[in-house]
Formats: sequence, C-alpha cells, structure tokens
Amino acid sequence: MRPNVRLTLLLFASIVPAVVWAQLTGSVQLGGHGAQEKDNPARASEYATTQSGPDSAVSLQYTGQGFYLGLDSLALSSERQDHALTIELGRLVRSHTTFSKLPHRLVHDSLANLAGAIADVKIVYATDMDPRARYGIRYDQFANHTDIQIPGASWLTISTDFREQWRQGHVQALSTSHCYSCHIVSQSRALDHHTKDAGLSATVTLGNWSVKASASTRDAREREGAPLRLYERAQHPALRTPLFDDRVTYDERNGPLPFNWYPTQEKDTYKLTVANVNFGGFSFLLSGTTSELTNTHTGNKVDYDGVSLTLARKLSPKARLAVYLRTYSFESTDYFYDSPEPAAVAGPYAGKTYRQRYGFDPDYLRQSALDRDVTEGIVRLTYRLGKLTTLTGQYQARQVDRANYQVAPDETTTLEQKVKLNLATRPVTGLHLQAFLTYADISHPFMALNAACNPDPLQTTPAPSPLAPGSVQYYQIHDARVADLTASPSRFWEARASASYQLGGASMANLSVSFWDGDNDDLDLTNWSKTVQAVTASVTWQPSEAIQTHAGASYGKRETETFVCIPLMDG
Amino acid sequence: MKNTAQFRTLFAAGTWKPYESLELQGEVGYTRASEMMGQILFNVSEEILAKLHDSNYDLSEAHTYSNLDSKRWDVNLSARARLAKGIHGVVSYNLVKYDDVTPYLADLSGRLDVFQVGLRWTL
Amino acid sequence: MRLNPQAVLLTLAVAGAAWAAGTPSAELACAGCHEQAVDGFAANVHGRLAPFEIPDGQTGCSSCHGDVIKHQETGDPASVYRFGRDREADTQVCLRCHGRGAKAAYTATVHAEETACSTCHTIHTQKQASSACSTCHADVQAQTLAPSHHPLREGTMTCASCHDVHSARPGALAVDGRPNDLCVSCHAEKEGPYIFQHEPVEEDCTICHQPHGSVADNLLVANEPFLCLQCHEFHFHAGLEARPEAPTFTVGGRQYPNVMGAHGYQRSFATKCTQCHTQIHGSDLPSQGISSRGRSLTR
Repeated sequence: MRPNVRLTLLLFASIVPAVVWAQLTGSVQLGGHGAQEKDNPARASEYATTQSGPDSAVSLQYTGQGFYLGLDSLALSSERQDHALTIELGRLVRSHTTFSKLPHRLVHDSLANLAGAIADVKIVYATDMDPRARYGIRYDQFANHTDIQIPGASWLTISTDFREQWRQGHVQALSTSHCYSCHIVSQSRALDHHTKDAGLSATVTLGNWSVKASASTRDAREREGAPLRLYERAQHPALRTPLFDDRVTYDERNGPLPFNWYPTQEKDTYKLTVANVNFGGFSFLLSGTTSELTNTHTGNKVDYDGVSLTLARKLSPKARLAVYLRTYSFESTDYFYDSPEPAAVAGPYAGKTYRQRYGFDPDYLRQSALDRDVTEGIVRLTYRLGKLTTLTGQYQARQVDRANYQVAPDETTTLEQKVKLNLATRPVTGLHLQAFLTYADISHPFMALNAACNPDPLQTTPAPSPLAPGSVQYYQIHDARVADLTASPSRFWEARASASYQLGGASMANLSVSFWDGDNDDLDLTNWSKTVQAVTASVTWQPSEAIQTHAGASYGKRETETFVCIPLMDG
Repeated sequence: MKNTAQFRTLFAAGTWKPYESLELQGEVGYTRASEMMGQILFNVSEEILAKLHDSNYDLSEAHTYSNLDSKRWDVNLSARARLAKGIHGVVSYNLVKYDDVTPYLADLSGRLDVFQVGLRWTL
Repeated sequence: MRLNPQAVLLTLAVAGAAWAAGTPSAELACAGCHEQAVDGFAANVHGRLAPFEIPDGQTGCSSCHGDVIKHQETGDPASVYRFGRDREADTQVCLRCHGRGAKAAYTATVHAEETACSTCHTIHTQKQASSACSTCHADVQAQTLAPSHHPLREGTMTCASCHDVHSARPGALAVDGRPNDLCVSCHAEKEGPYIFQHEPVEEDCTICHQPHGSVADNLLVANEPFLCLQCHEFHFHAGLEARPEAPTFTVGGRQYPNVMGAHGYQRSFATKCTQCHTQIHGSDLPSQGISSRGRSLTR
C-alpha cells in the first residue's frame, strides 16, 4: 500500500471515531434470555417470542455538523424485533426507516364438535390432516419515509413513502364437502402474503398556505398457492345414490379444487390537500382523494372518490366553532355469475339440471353491496363557561345511500344523527372532571332484510323428498323468510364520565365510568338491544422519590339480546 | 336470546429505588373474562313438529356450546443495578399464565416464562 | 520529518472531537438558567431544525419563545413567550410550523379543546412514548387487556397506529378513506374486492369486530354463533337430535365414534358457523351448493 493511501486511511480512521465518539449518546444493552412455554401458546405467547437466545436493545443518537443519526433497536429473537433508524443530512434529507417482526400465534380449532349422525343417514364429521400443527403468522414490516427540502427552494418538500409488509406462516384452512355427508377437512396452509406500498408527494408552502399532492400505489399478493380439496361426490344422504349431482356445482369429478384462496390486489391512490392554519381567522383543510382498487384475477374494480373539508375558528374569546364535512362514493364493476349447472345422472330426473327440474335460476348479476354515496358532517361549538370550565355541543350526521343493498323494503338510505354534550371542568385545584353524553338516532340502520323465519315452515308438501315432485327445496325456505334482523341500533344513548385528582406530587387518582344503551325496535317482527357498561379506577401513589406505585381495577359488561329463529325442514 | 360478556382486570405496579444504584420494578395483572349465551327458547307446537319426518328438535343445551371463561396472569419483575459508572446490570422475569376455564373448541391454557439478563452501557 | 502515527492519531482525535462539538450558540446562554431544558434539546428534533424549515428562519429557543436576547439582558420573564398558561395560544405557536399541512385541522378536533401539544409530545428532550390517551379513555385502555386484543399491551402497536388525534375525522381515525381502509392496510386479504361478498364486511368491519379488545377470539364483538344469529337464522340442522344414539356411525363403510351422542348434530351446527363458512370476509370461489348461487362463503 502506498504511504499516502495509508496516511489517508489513517486520517479517516482517526477522525471518524473521534468525531463520532464526541457526539454519540444513548445506551447499548446486550444480554440473553431463556423462554419456556407450556401447553397451548395461542394465548400465553400470542404476540411473544418463545425462542431463547441472545438479545440486544440499542438506543444511539449521533449529532454531528448537520448530520444526525438515531438508532433504536430491539432484537429479542429472529421472530421479534423492532428497529428504527433516523438519518438527517443537513436537514435537507430527513429519512426515517423502521423494520419490525412480530409473531402472532393462532388458535388451532380441534373440530371436536363436528361429529354427529342421525340414523347413519345425515352425517357430519371432520378430519384434521395436521392435528399437531401449531398455527401462527409472523408480521414483518419495513417502512421508510423520506423528506427532501432544499434551502434555496424551501417552499418545496418532496417526500417518498415506502412500506413492505409480509405475513408469513401457517394457518388452519378448512373446507366443507356436503350432501353425501358434511365432511369438514382441516389442512395446514402455508401463507405468504405480501403488501407493498410506494408513494411520492410534493408539498408546496407559500405563507400560511400549503398544498400537498401525492400519488401512491399498492400491490398485495399471496405467493403461496391455495390448498386443494377433492370435494366428495354428491349423493342423496339416505339413499347413497347420485341423485344430487344437479345440486352441486362441483364435486370429485372436477378433481382437486383450490379453496381458501386470496387474489392479487392493486390499488392506485391520488390525493390533494390544501391547508391554511389562518385563513381569515379559520384553520382550513381541504382534502380530495381518488383511488382505484383492482382484483387482478377477476378484473373487479372499485373506484373511490372523496372530498373533505375541515374548518375551525374562534368566534369570541369564549367560543370556538369547528366544522367537518366529507362526501365520498364507491363504485364497483358488476360481475355476472354464470353458475355451472350439472345434470342429474340418476333418478327420475336423470339428464336434467336443477333449473330444468325446479325452475331455479342460479345465475345472477352481482352488484356490489359496497357501492354507495356517503355524506357526513360534524358541527361543534365549544364555549368556555369559566376559566377552567368548557361546555361543548356537537351535532354529527351521516347519510349513506347504497346503490344495491336495501336496509328496509325499497329503502337503501341510512341517516344517522348524533347529538353530543361534553362538560369539562377543574372545580378545585388538582381535580379534573369530564362528562360526555351522546344521543343517536339512526333511521334504517344496516340490517339483513328478510333474514329469518318462514311463517309457514312446512309449506304444504306432506312428504318432502328429492324423489317427490313439488317437494320443498331449501332455496324456497330461504325465499319465504320474512323477519328482518340486525346487529345495529336505531337509537342509542351513551354516557361517560371521568375524574382525575392530583393527590400531590406525582400521586393521582382516576375514575372512569361509561354506559351505552342501544336498541332497534324498527325491525318488522323482532327487537334487538345491547347495553355496555364499564368502570375503571386507578391510583398512582408516590410516597417518596424512591417509591412509586400504581394500582387499578376495571370491570366491563356487555349484554346483547336478539331474536333467534331456526328453519324446520326435512332435508 | 341474551348474550352476556364480562371482564374484570386488576393490576398493580411499583418501582422502588432502595439505593441510588439499584432500582426494582414489579407489575402484576389479572384478567378474568367470560361470555355466555342465554337459554334458547324453542317454542314450536307439537302439532307442527308432528308433521316433520325429523321432529326431534332440541336446543336446550345449545346455548352452552360457545361459552367462554378464562383467567390470565401477567407478572413482570425486574431489577437494574449500577455496576460501574455508565454500566448497569439488568435482570427481569416475565410470566404469562392463561387458564382456559371453559375451552371452546381448543383448550387454550398455556404458560410462558421468560428470564432475561443483560448489561447496559450508557454512553 | 518522520511522521509519528500515534501523535497524528491523538491530534486528529482531539481536533475531530472539537470540530464535532460545534460552536457555541444562543442555547448555551439559555442553559445558564435553563440547563435541564437545553441539555436534552439536541436529542429532540427541535434542536436540529434548520432555518429554512421555519417560517421566520429563527431556530433554537427563540423559535418558540421569542426574543430570548432581550430576556437574557433584562431577566424579565414577560419578555419571552412562556408556555403552559394559555393552551390555545400554546397550540398556535406549534401550528406556526406544524399547521402547514394536515395538522392545520388540529384546532377543529375534540382533543384541541382539552389537550395541549405538550401533553403528548416532548418538546425539549428525546421523543418518548406517551400514555396520555388513557387519562380520558380509561375504558378503552381496559378493553385492550381483554383476551383477544391487538398487540398494544405488548407494545408493538399504540393508539396512534389507528388514531390520529390531530384529525377532525369521526373517531379521529388515521385514514383518509373510510374506517375499513384502516383495517385492510394490515389485513389486505380481507379487502378483495370479491365476487361473493358478505355485506357487513363491505359496510363496516366494526359490525362484527371490536378493535380495542374482546372476550371472543378474533376481536369479535360476541362469540359465534351468537354473533351470526343477530342477522341470520340457525342452520336448519342445528336443532336436530341424533337418534338413535348409536355408539358409532358409518361413512362410506367406515365406522366413526359418535362422541357427542344425542347432541352431535346440535354441537356440529350450533357451535361455530365459520367452521364451514370459512371465507366470511368474501371469496372469488363459489360455494358448492347450487341453490345458494355460490354465495355461502364456504370456499
């Protein structure tokens, strides 16, 4: 090595550690851990590593002339890590990168309940192909956000965003084959789901105004193939003959078929945001977003367009007004489902399809339940009753007009209105009280129309049978249902109160109580109701500099009442 | 039909620095959670049932199949001692014990013990 | 002259350290009285800001506190802006820089009514995790301790993973689209868009899921089958009692133990709907029975 090269290297090797050493702060922890698990890990180790070995926790900050490097790193094992790296180059380039690994252990359903037979005719049973399998996914995520801002053009900030998420592991995949018997099969399914988001944005700032335009794209795909199942031959359960070939769209004659399959997804999003923190006394934020989501396998698309406006201003020294308005819509491509229609191979209707036999048309145009126009808004007025007391009143409304889904006969629109009151006060030194009260009225909340209860459960056929002309078919039982059902309220009350009292120093007592009571008596035949109550109390006590204690308790209860219906059918 | 879910949580934590160079921490949490369905009332007349080929309907125990009841203990004990200027020794023990009192399709009872030691160097 | 590498090394080390330590700034003068605030300032992003990032180009203590030189000369506390006396005014100081973007909406939020920026953010020292949310949302914090929960108690998620307290959106959700978009950012496989839909999935994830924590698995607001029975009737086999109660049953000539006895059918059909209706979030693959038009979400 030439002397000048050696000297250069020596200089570099001397300066860098010296410079770094002078401005390096933080801590480094090195150690190890031993983990021992027992029995089922799905709850006790749900998000924890169960691997033993060395571990490290590093938090380092280096600040040089115009250069900053911050590293926070936790490495417990190969399945549990959190790393964050911040790099700043003269504040011209500001980059924050994170990488994390998180295990999520999942429940292995034993399927032990799936065993039953009626006279060796109607049979349900299960087969677990991997009874000792442990299921779980590891979430790995890499993300980076970088801002670039140049002094000569500081009104412009260019930003990039990148995120990559992997969900890898094994999950329990179940499939059901029926008619001959109900046979549920469990298989271990390898999962390798991958989501990649990339975005670019430009922010222009002029005075109080800022305009941000951004574009992003997402690609989500599953790299493992779907599991396969040989669906069993459809047979009449009692006669064990192939009378039901016309009732299933596939069986063993189609060979092994995929199930539990995820499509590849692509999504492009464009967004424009205009902001001004003081626009004629208003803080102002206007945002518009448009996106297109595509299922690349089926070609199904969903278009989203949304605009929101946020305004706030002080009306007087004691009063403040805030307004939020948003409107958005979804529009999806329709899909025509052209059902396979096999013909029966035996019995009195051999050679005929289910349509030819019963007049049932299985084909239909699927129009998305997602398609809708939504308008929502919040108007909030806050008034300062005293120096330490504020009263806030809020009116919130949301109208959802669905294109293809009815929430009552010939009704596709839900209107939800909420009135909220909030009182916050500090009546004496150290005491902070808050009380919230909400009343909501929802006309035509989301529901399942004609979801249950056939008023004439037996129809008129005395001996339903696939061999009997005119016998009752299950789709006819379905079509005759009359009761609307829901899990959503048509009105509810919510009350919440919290109190915190500073006992002195760092000692504090907190109490929080909440109550929610909602029901839906707008249903045609039934009622639905729910109450939720919760109370939490905690005390933080610091009797001295050397001792700090914290203790608490919470209790929560939810009661839901609904009408339950069961169809009666010989089948 | 009614469905009731309840949970109760008790937790306590403390930090004690008996000496400037030693800090002890402890946390204990206990959660009991349960959910149960109310009795399903099957009120179809015998006259209608008599017309069915399979008339032996019985939902008297169905509400018990999906009951949930569990207890969970979380314990964390740790100590940090200054061994020299800028150097600390760290020891911790972590326990999660989950007791599936009423298993639902899988007994989720399990336990995880983690013991950790380390040296922390503060720059 | 022969160069002594060790001397060079030592010299350069000292010189490098001196160079890296930087030049004294106005903050050093402030440190004379406000040592604690200034000491950690370099570890906070505010201590590293460049003039071109700030509207009036003023960095350091003056950036937020105003004319510190006058304060240093007179010692009069009134000559600088002091935080902690008027929350709204404090917020406006922060918004001079942070209001240039989506945080301009902060004053329109519920949080701005009762919360100062410094309630959650460290201004002078290194960024630290804040648990300020639980002060007002203790009921929500308690839910995160339920058996089924997102990994908040394990520290890998925080409230801010899903909520943006600077946003005026309903629920302060950290998403521009509708609430479901937040869920599918991590659970993309649930989004489809699928041919065979489950309508409540398209409507709102929270009809079936309680994201803050639940007693039932998978963050379900109630365990199956009750969850499903709110909107659906039982399967038509769910109530049938097995008769006769034989010790075994036969499938394809093979005998299976009838472990559930008379209750085998009820157990099978009244315990967990998603054992068969597995693709409850939607599917592109049709279910087997023709009479459901492929929509049973079993495949």
